[in-house]
Order: sequence, then structure tokens, then C-alpha cells
Amino acid sequence: MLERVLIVVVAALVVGLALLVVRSRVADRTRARLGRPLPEALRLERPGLPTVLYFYGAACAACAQQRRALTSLPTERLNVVALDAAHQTELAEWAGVLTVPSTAIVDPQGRLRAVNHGFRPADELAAQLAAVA
Amino acid sequence: MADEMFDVTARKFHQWGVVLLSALAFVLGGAAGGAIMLALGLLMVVGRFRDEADLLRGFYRAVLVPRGILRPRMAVEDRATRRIARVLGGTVQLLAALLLLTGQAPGLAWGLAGLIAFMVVLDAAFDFCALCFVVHQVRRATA
Repeated sequence: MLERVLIVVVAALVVGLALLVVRSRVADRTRARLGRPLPEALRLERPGLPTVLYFYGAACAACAQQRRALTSLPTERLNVVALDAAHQTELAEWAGVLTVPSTAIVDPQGRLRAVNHGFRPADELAAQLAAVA
Repeated sequence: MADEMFDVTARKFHQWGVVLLSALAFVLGGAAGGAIMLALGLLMVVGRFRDEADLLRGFYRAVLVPRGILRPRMAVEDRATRRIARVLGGTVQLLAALLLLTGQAPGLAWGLAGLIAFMVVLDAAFDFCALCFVVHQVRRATA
């Protein structure tokens, strides 16, 4: 039994350390992308306003909830662009999308300011948008 | 329509409970380990559909919150994915339990149980959906 306890302790330490390293790398990767200008191929409906790029996917249960959260934002004062992450690969790569749903916040000057991997509630998105408006 | 709020503390307590019980099952091993995995699998699958079957959440609500040991924290969360993941994870745990209780392929059984525990840790610690990540990467690779 002692052998098994040691295996659990060592596994927990290894997994914990590995997760911290991966998390730090993902944060570095995201930071390196901040400030990048939007690819010119993407034409915004209302240039000069903050933008949320919403990356969705098929078989994604959380995407419907993310879409609902986005519709509760004041959409007349921002651009919301929905993109299929598996097919809009250039934009997904530009934002560093790892999973779906993901959201990228772009400031009125068209520069990437934040990337959220996974579902984010409307109030969190609203705070991010307010910070860049 | 306003999104429903969920108790994040209850969710995390449940998840860490599943991880700790999986570790306990591995440490005990044998039939005892298989029995704990069976109980865990049932708790995951049945508890998804019948709230009273989720003993971890029941303990949280009946003991930890009234005594002030843990405090509820309400937030809008992605419930849909977690419900699917819970049923999938519980089914894999039941399969692992079956293998352990019949004495077949214990290595595979603990591998499966460990994989589920790892995915639960990712969500409990970082709110990261490992299943969503894998599905997206597969879809991207095959698009």
C-alpha cells in the first residue's frame, strides 16, 4: 500500500508541475499575440468600435451559452463576429485559439487586447470591452 | 434570457472529491478499490439526473455550508458541457470498476480512472474543458 501512496504523491506532484508549466506557456503565448492588428481580410461592419471575435465549433455544448452571453451585450456599440474555429484557421491562429468557445477582444483601433479560452459570462466580456473602449 | 447562476464552490468540492476518492481507490486497490470506483461511477452518472444521489454535493449542502466551512459562490457557468462530461466520465469510471471487480486488465482500469481524474483536475483547478480542447484539435486537424 505504501508503494501505491508514493505513486499517487509522485503523480500529483508531476501533474501539478506540468500543469503550472503549461499554464505559464499558454499565458506567454497569449501575451505575445496582444497588440497584433486584425488581419486585413476581416472587414468589420462598424470600424472604430470594440470587437468581439467569437470562435465556435460543431458538437460544442457551451457555444450556445456563449452565443447567448454575447447577445446580451450592447451589440449596437460593438462588433460581434462569429467564426467557425476549425474553418477560419487564419483568424483562429492569429488569436491563438486553443479550444471552443473562445473569445478575442479587439480594441477600436483593431488591435488584439485579450483572448479567453473557454466560456466567459457576459459581465466578464463587458468588463473587458469597457477596458478597451 | 438571463443565464442561470450556479454554485462554483459546490462544483469544485464535488470535483476535488472525485479526484481524492479516485486516489483512495487506487491506494486501496483490489476489490475495495473497484467498489469505490463503482460507487464513484454511479455517483457521477446517477447524480447527473437525480440530485439526491450526488452524496458529495449532499455533504457539501448539509454539512459544509451550514457550518461555514465552505461558502457558496454563485456565477454563470458552462453547465451543458459539464453535464455531458460528467456522464461520459462516470461511464468510463463504471467500466474501470467493472474491470477491477472482475480482475481483468487492472492496468487499463487504473489508466482510464487516472485519465478521468486528470480531466477533472483540469476543470477544478483551471476551469479548462479538456474534452472541448480535444474535440477542437481533432476537428481542426481533420477540417
